[in-house]
Amino acid sequence: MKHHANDDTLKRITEAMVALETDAVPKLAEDALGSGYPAQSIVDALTVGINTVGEKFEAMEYFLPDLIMAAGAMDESMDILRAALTRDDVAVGKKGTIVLAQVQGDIHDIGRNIMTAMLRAAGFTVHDLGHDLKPDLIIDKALDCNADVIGLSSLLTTSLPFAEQVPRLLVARDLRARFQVAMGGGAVTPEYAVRAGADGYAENAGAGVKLMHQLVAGR
Amino acid sequence: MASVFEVLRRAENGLYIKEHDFDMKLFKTTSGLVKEHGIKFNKDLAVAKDDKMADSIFEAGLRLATEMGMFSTDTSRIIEFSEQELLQALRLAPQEMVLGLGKDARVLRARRFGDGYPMIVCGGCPGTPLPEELFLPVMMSYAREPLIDLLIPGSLTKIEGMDVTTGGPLEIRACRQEMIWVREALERSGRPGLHIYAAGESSATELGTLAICNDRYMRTSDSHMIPVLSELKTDNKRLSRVMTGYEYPAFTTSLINPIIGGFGGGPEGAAIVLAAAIMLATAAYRVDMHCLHPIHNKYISVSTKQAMWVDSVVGRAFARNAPVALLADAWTTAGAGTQEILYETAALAIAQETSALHTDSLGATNGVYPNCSGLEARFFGEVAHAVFEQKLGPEEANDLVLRLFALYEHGFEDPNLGMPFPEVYDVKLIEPKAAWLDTYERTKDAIAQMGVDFR
Repeated sequence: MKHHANDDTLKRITEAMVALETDAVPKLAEDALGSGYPAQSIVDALTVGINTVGEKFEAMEYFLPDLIMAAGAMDESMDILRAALTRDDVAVGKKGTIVLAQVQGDIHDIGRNIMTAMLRAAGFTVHDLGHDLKPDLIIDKALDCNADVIGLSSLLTTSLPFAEQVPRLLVARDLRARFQVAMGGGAVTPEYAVRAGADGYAENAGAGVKLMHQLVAGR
Repeated sequence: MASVFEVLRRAENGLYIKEHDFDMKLFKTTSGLVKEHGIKFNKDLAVAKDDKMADSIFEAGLRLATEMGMFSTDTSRIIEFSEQELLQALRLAPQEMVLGLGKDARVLRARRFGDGYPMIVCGGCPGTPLPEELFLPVMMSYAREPLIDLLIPGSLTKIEGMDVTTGGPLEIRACRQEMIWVREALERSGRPGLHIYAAGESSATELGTLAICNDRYMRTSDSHMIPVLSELKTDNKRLSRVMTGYEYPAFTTSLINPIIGGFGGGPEGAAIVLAAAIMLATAAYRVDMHCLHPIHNKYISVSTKQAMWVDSVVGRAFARNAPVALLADAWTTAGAGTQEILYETAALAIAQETSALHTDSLGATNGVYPNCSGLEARFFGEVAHAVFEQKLGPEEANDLVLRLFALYEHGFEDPNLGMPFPEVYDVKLIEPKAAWLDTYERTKDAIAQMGVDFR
């Protein structure tokens, strides 16, 4: 059985992802698995495709809905492949678990939507908790999800005090070592993130993906 | 035209839709309209010149507004408007407003090409967090600039050393203090009647607006802001601001932030979404004017080519089809004290003046750092007035903007954030320091060499 990157079946999976044939992608993944392709080779083909989608989004050739649909196709494909992946595989979804939240008082969603889609595309398990969330509730959800990283976003200066409550409450609840904390969003500066006790800051979604890799690897 | 109560009724009883489905429908509808009208962003254009395309964007915006309506995130209902209601709302929108009082009052017009009136220049530092001790001097630095016609406050983020939090009690105090100090800045600058635009910047909720509905703070000759949530959405907090304005007759302005690369798609789709949002805000909020602020999906700043083009083509679309007062934000990536901020300022001033827009102030460092001052606002006014007097056409304007763009585009990846106010201004005299003044003069000379005639 051939399963190198130039293989036509795997190439077709990559191409379908890049072409945003999002209904076809999970079916192609399932067919390839049924034909005896190792699950990891299929994951690799999907990853190449979705990375290209991410690059096209950054270059404004693709837009947020495209990214969301591609990330959805990736998730669906992974559900099909997960059982077949052996424990030693470096599989999508094993890169780390992230919870993302817009802090209390802030109802902006779109930046976090972009971050969610790009992280899912990069292979993280992402729980998007939504907006206007109290600091303590964010921590409760992070525990429920067994998250590695808590990602906090704020576009409002007046919501930043709620962002810094999260690291402080983690300390108060004796959970600070349990989670990495990342911050981003229009109102956040790198200096603020340091002052607030975060472990990292990202100025945009692309930088956010790199940051999450670093934070998860540093655990 | 639907009354405020009818809008609230529609928000409660309109068609139910999941928010995700609304977003995806918006993408599909907008993409279809872009294709149907053959609208194409040209990367060599920051200033729109194609009347046919501008008309198409107006038509597509009207279709989008009619097909989508405005989504209430609190009720998951669509506030629908018929095409007739939207057009009627635009027809009834004010064409001229006297903003401010006495000799300091200015007339804000719904601009048309060739109407013989220059833009109204709003100065200030919207969204910028300012410490209490700097708030008054920073505001005075703007108030003292004679080319500034309206003043927008910065944001107070601490009161008595405590953080102002969204929806918290200090929002009330912060907004009142903000207005007291802005008024003092105007009085000390001999311009007590100047219009305060978007009063209550220190509050992200309706609390601040409600707190300042009093002649001591926000006069009825001032204005407050009612944002449209991206894209084409509202909620009870925004509608509460509408209700606040219902009985307190200060002026109102929308704030519209279409995301370029977001649910509307690229610049073409974002322009259609922006046009639709202007129509919906006119009908649903009954605002007197609109603040336009397209956001680039990566760089945020409105000084990208895409964002300038979105503002420009929408300005052209409304000036030709249904003039309403449009004020475009002029937020820059760079900060005070740098040559880059002046290049960005000049590009934005040229693009906005030649696109029948007014300006809604210059937010240095995209409103993140207090690295701002009155001098860059002065420069904005000087450039805008110069190109108005020169009767610069869109082609010449575009050439100039592209040449300026080449001088600051490196800053999107590696911004020159400049310096905080006390490092560029003498805080006691409220005057620019020598180094900042020198940078300003050198840059002004360079831009004059490029063809801007500062007489």
